[in-house]
Amino acid sequence: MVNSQDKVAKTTSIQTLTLRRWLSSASLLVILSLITVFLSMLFGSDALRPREIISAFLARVTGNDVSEVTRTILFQIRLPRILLAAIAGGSLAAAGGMFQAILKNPLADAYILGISSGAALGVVLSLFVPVNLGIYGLTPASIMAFTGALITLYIVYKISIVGGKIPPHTILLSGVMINAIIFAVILFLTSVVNSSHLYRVFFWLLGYLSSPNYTALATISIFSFTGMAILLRHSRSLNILTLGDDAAETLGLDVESVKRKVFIAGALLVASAVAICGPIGFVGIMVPHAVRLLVGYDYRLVLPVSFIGGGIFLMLADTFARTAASPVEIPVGIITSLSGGPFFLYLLRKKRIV
Amino acid sequence: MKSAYQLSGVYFRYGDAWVLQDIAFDVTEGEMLGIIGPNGSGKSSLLKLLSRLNTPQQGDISLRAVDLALMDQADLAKTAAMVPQESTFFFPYTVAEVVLMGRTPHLRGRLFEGRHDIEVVREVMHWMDIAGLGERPVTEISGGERQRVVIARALAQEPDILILDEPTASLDIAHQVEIYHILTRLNEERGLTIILSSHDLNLAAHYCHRMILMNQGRIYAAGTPSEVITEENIREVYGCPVLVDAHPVSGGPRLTLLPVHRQIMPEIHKVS
Repeated sequence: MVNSQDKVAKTTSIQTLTLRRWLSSASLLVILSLITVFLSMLFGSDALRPREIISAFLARVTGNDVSEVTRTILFQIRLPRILLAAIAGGSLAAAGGMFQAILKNPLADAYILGISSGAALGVVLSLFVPVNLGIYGLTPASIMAFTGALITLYIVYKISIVGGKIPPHTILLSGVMINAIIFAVILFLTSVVNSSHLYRVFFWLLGYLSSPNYTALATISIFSFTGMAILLRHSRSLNILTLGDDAAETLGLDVESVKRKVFIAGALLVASAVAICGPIGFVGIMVPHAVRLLVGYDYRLVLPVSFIGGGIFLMLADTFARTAASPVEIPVGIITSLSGGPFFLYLLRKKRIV
Repeated sequence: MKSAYQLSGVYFRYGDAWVLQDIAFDVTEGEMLGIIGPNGSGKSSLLKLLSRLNTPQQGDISLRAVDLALMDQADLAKTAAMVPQESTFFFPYTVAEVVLMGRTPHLRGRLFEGRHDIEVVREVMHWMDIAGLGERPVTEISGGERQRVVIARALAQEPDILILDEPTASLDIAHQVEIYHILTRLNEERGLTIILSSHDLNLAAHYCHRMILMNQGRIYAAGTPSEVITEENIREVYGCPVLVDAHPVSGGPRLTLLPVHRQIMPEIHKVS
């Protein structure tokens, strides 16, 4: 009797995420991501042939010479912009996935929490205050955007604390309110100054990618990777947090401490993205939802796959943005919203994910 | 007999109103304790005090002679596991994933479960008769199955004490009996201390060794089921007339609700 029970127990299949499956999924996506980087380099107002790209990269190693034009296009214009898309897209997607879990709201992402509007206010202020803050390769506008994002998130976070805890609904509501207030301030500031500023602010708010210098790229990468490392460290805890604060606590999780840490991580990720690119819409909502349909709901896998997948998505969107109406560039935020919005509506109706 | 929990002079309030007043009792290791009382009498708040989801404003709670407030979060989760009244799932995790989450206090900093964790989970799933549901989304199984999944998750914590808030609240009679049967087996065969709250006085009286009757945030009566379930106690606390006699099979107390007499509700009678 006991033996037959043991047999049943042993045949029960329990699939869990192992380090091996985690590594193989991550490697597969990294390869896909590298292919996307390569393909994105082919396109632009001046098309390059695959051979040219390969020989240019080889020349970096061997010291052989390639044409000055090819080198400039590839290493000064195209590659930094593609890498920026990979990092910004990945950061926004991973942060969005994290916010959806801790706020238990399928629509949660950086916007709803006021981070993007805080960054936008920073950019607007940088147009008024002519300070030379260009450090670590970042422009004054980027630094102000970064600071604005962090300060807004801190304010939202502080307002939302009720009795030492952070209830999901208060944080969402205070985020929405802070957003509304900041946008009123932005509109006020832009309406009282000359229109050239207005145009710049408008373009920045749409979200667009430029070709940053490598120092700036390195700076935002450090912030982004730090945030991502913290998120991965707590990715299992994020699964537990979706059960609700009480359940998570009785499972032995220090709920408020985990929330605080992943919140800081999210702030770093989003701030690093919006600093250079502006608020690019829908990446943070759409990518995690698509990823969960593909790999399931285990955040140990959802977060890294969202990071790499978000990067791939934004690289592709940006390639389209700079080639579709060449030589005119479409702000990439328009592409992501135009593709992300309908996709999300499709998921909503067909897959009933939310 | 060693004590699992010891409470003395415990007062607890949300905001201004006291929810629990002057609570003092011991929970003995290995016993099955039922907490009963009307809605709002403080049953859930009391269980939340035991699992440290609530902290008392006054009084002492100790778990195995250690001050509950000073216990490490993971150590507490490895000693006492809580099965909440309702479990909601934001994401459709598979049943196996949900039960694996019970290993959280044992994993500490580790990101991935090891072979031992899988073994424990396999065993508790077998115990709870949900071994065949492993790959099903937890949002798509029946209420009775989900309750067993959540109990399995609590058991995966490998606790010595299981705290359950109205574990049979939304289940049909067959599933209610099934849950009590499982709890009794866990209590007898594995020596788990079980503390539960219930609105079903007959079932609780049948299965529990000892009962605590709560009324307006205070302990009204405590003792064996036959000491607590008396016509007088129930009429006084619940405010409805009942008949208590001996259960024909077990010999324990059996409670029968008496239909409310017309004279007790004259206004309603007049309207109709």
